[in-house]
Amino acid sequence: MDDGELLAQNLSEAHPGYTKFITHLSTLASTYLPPFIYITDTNNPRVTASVIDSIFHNISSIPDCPPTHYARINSVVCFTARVFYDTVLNALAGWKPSWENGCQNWPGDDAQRYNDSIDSFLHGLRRLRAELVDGPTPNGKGKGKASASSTEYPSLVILIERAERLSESLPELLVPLTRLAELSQVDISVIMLSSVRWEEIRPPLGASPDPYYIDIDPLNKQDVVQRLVSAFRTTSLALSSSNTSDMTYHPVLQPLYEQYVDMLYSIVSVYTSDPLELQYISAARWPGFVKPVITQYTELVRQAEEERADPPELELPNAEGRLRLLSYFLPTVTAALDALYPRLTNAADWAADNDYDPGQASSRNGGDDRSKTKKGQPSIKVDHLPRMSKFILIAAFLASTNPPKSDMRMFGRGAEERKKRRRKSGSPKKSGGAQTSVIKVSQRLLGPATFPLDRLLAILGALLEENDFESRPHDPRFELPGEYTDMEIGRIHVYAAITELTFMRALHRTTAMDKLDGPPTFKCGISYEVALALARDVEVALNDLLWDPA
Amino acid sequence: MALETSLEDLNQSYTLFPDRDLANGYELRLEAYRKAWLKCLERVEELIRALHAPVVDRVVELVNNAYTDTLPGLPYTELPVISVTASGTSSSIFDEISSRLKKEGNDGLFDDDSSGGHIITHIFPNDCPNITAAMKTLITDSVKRKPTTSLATIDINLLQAWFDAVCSTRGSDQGSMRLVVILHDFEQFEPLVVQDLFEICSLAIPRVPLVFVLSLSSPPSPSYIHATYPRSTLSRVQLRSCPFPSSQDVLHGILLQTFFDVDFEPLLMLGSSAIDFLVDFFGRHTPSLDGLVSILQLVHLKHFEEPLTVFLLDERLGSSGTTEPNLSDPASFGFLDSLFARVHESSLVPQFEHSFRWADESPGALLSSVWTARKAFQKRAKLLRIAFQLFLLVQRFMLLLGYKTDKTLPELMCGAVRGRLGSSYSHLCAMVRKLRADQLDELLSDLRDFFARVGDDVRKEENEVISRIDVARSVFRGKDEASNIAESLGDWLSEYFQQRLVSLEESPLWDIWYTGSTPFPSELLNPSLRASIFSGLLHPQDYSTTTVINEDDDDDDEEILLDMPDTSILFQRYLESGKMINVYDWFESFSVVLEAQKRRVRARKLSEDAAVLRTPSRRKGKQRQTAEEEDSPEESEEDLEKWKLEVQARFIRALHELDYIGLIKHTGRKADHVMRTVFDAPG
Repeated sequence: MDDGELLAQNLSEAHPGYTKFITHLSTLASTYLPPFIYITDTNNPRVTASVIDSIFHNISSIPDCPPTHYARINSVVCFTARVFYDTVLNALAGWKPSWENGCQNWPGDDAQRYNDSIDSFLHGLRRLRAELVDGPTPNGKGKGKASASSTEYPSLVILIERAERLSESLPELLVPLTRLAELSQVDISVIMLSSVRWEEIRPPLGASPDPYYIDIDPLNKQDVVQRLVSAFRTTSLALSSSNTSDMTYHPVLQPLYEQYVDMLYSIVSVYTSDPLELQYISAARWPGFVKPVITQYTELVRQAEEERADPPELELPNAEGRLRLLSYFLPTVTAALDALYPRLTNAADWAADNDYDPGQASSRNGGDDRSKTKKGQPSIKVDHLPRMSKFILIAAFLASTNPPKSDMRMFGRGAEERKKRRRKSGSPKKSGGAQTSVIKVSQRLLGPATFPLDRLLAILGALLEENDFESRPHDPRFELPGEYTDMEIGRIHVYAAITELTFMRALHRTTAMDKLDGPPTFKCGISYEVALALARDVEVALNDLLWDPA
Repeated sequence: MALETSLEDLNQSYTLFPDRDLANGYELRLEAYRKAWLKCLERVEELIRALHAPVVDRVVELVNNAYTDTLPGLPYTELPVISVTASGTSSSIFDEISSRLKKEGNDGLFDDDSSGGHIITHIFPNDCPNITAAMKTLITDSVKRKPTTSLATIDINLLQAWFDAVCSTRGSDQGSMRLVVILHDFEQFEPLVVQDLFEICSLAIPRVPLVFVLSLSSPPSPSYIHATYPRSTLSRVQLRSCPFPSSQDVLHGILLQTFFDVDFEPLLMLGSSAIDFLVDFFGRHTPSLDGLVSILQLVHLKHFEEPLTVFLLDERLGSSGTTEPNLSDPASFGFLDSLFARVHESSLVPQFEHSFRWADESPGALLSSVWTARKAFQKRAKLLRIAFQLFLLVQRFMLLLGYKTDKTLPELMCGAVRGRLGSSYSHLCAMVRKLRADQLDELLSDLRDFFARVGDDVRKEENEVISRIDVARSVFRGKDEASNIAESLGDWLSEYFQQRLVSLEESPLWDIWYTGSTPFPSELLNPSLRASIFSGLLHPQDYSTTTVINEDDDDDDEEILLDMPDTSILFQRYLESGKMINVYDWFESFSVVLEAQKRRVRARKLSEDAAVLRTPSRRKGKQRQTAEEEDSPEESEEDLEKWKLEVQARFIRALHELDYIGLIKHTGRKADHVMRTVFDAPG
């Protein structure tokens, strides 16, 4: 058992916070692994999967543990039954298909197929077990000898990641998988790892046996920091082995990194405690963060070379220096979180953009500039759209937000008259709404409503007549008021623009493309902010045209 | 039959001005058009390629650096995704990208198509209705050879095995090769499918170095990708965007460098109305460079309707293979007449001062005057372009100094070709007069540099202003003379602009090389659907060559109806009815017209027959009528029955056509009635 404990200890060191889970699972694995385990991890299943990975890759080193063959399957990748069978069998058998032999599946040159149904898959598992038993001892054949010592039995383990996807893509496979050991008569365990609970994907009518449940607790701060520090060690090792002169991940800097991660965690943990996210943000900020230390050191090295002295060792800054560093970079961490957590940009680009600039170090302006650029980033640029498309989008937004009954009152009159009317009709409606107990939810909060093409074109015509008439080139053929606009909204490029905007998903078509009878209906796909920016660009008073400008 | 004859007619004369065109003018003009358009197209494409180049370079650089140039310390490898916003440009940019990527790193050791460089796969939205199809497309497109495999063709492991094999055959290329997947029209992909695709691929990297290139037509911000895909997908990819600069500036740049460049001489000069239309259309409807190319082509096509444009390249016609038209042929006299009238009008061609001497002149002399006119026009246009560039140079200089202009570049271009830049350049020169010494020095050196770059022939022409600038530079020493020099420099420039920036329409025979203010045929490119349908129904003769309104009969309105196609007849009756139409009444009135048509055809036939006395090659009627009917004036019962059926069938057909166009609404409110949907058709 010493070996088992040693293994558990090693693994726990590599994966802080998982000690309980590792002991639990490795004990099970070395004694008796239940045939069906369901692991729920709502926080970071990717990390848990890597922990399970390392457990089963190392479990065979324990002497009295049965030889374990392990397959890690992602149910997104294995989206059809055939791919699933192939992947499982190849992984369990340690078979690597190669192009030279025509990408044959396990068992190689045999003509036997094990991937066409669950039955042949079970046959495949049985044959695999037999081969695994016979493989190491070619002289002994038959099950009699194998069953003589139970430890000789290989145990097979299948880990299925993102198990919740199985119930969508391969629902017919879910029940057989839960009772795979029973069906195949092979010593096999299926471990499902998912972020949702078993109850939500459980097949109906009690077709599956209840799994052995394991829940993963969320990591606490200490564990996350430890995890990041160990990642630092790994990176530092990888970099030093590749002989780069980059000092960013020098082992000496590790204590500083611990403090840095501490600060990072205190800011970021409000939004996410996912260690992968933290590591991502940390990787983006760290090169800039340590740059002052590195530059100072390279300066010292240069001086030493000039004085022909021995180059000094890389030293950590003193406590005060560290505090100054931390407080200087504190605001930029928030900026990094804002940009990187929703992936508005990627870590490499962000790190390049926000590198430490010694010129700015003296003043606090640097931080201010950064916050400004950060704010400017999600600004809405609309100048790429042609003028007509802008009007169409505004009209679509109005058609999706205003109730159809209001159109006549909003657009049915001349500009001046309409504005007067609007105010009159606006105030009694408000008071009426307050009196009656029915509180109407604003359409903008309900999401866009559908509207037919005709309504879109009618609103477009009203908008163009009031806001676009002057910008049009003069055409003497049109004399009647509104005639020119009527001609303009019927033009083929207006329809083309509507189609193009639909392809861009700025409009959503709600009727099928091949449906001919009746006008096509659409939904607006742009937000209020975009509509407002568009309206500002073409000088349309959008709020005057909204029935319910909330 | 009627169709065939009219097509034959058209073949002989694709001309709008048959009275003053050459016999083979059409072919000659087509030849000239091809040359002019190809030259223009080549230039525009070259400019577009130059615009694409930075984007293509950036994409190639990103692909090359993917997986090697990564930030250390990241928790996992991100799937490199490069989004290219190509709304304003043509899709040819992706061809350029993929051909560049294929060539990249190719050392020429392998002749095989798939060896060397990156491996490119194109995936279109239609290929990917679900994840199975998407994976199949991705894998079988990359894997070139047909696999005799046991791994499924949708298995990412197959791609892996194949890639390993490719790497081992290529040997050293292993590290630099990428599998580039171009997703065209990315917005149209099903987001759920792409999510799965990215997740699967992100698990296969970096063993299989996949790089995705997305073709987006939506703007970089608000970003479509961020709005559509969940964070779980976004966190797997490393998204980088390469936006294409699409705005009015691109259009202005292309126009400026095609039609107002110092070194490039377009064969056909764009007129102000074409520029106006182009700019308006580009800004209003579509900022696509493909659209720009079609508009330019349409301008060229339209221009070569004019018979005189055969002289665009060469006044000796037919030098390039086509049969030389005989100008002494009486058929060409109309053409020569019009040419003579134009040459005579333009007093700027001096050698024919006396009109009476024309009697003695041969066509050759007339042609030599065309030659003179061409030389004059080309010189004038070239000097205009140079003067315009100089104007822009001075304006740019002044803009840097804070001077403001209220005119956009296209307005300036229009002003330049129409000779109406007077106020602009006089204002500009007034500003030049007030320059300080250091500014003046800078401007003078800029001007000298500008003229140093122009060709020798131009320098000869512009001797005066160049020497003046040189004099100014040599005299200019201290601050004291600055104001004097600035004063005279302003005057000189003003004089120069006044001399050069003159309307191109003042040149003799200008309309051969310049489109002038010919309106652009915008209805061809951007018609109004309703208006076109109505005018088609009301005036079918303008659209169809088979509908010929008979001119010989003295027609009143009712008679015109007799020559119309069925749908038009029905539509006329439709316009005369009330809100609801009784279908039976409609049918009755329709059959009355058909009866009248039939009677008239028969009457005409009889008279023709009487004249030709039953020749076997009788001409058939325009409408579908059988020979038996014509032969027997007295109709049998059976024929009558047949005719009734035919009328009914034709009515139903026409009715369905109107229905299909959307002019009829079936309400079901009233039996046998349909509703009109159009009430105010234009007359």
